[in-house]
Amino acid sequence: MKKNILLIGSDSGIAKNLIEILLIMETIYSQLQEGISANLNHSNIFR
Amino acid sequence: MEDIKKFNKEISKYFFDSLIFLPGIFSIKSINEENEMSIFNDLMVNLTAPMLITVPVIKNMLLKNNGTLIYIGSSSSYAGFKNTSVYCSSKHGLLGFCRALADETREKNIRTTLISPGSINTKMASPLIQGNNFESFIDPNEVSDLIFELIYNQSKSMWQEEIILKRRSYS
Repeated sequence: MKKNILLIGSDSGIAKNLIEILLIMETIYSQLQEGISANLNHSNIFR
Repeated sequence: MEDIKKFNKEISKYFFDSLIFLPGIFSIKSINEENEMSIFNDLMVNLTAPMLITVPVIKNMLLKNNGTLIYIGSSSSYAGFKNTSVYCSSKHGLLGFCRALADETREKNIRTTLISPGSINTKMASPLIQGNNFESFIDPNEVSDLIFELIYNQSKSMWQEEIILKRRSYS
């Protein structure tokens, strides 16, 4: 489910990784919304 | 302070499902090396800022009776280590803040978690590099994964308010 998240952090460490994960989630969500198969499995989401 | 006021005014316009507060300052200094500015700055980033930013966010969460708040503590939230008295104070303070916040808002469906890791393999831990195996430090990717799980895979009947993360190896 799409979430509205306020992330406060720098551009390194945990924040950088988390932003990447959240962006991937957002992309998958958008693609699913558009009815396009994201063709990504669970492990892709986490790396 | 003016920057935070301006920032808070802006974010008060939005409803957030989750707040994730990650920044922190870690410096190794004996207490006699501290000064007014170093103490003020470290407490501001590690303790005052998360409290200040929580206020406008939680106001809107309370209107919706829903929200997730995640903060990063430290092993120093639970223990005192020499030459880090200001850092330890700030992280102990953040633990107290999160405990009180959780107690105050739990029944309004606001979920608060303090994740308290040991040393993480990031730039922030660089003061600890001497005499330590940096490779054995916690992988920041794994902490990110944990935060992701807390936000996206929530249990219906329970919530973890405090999470202590230990390194699996110290060698």
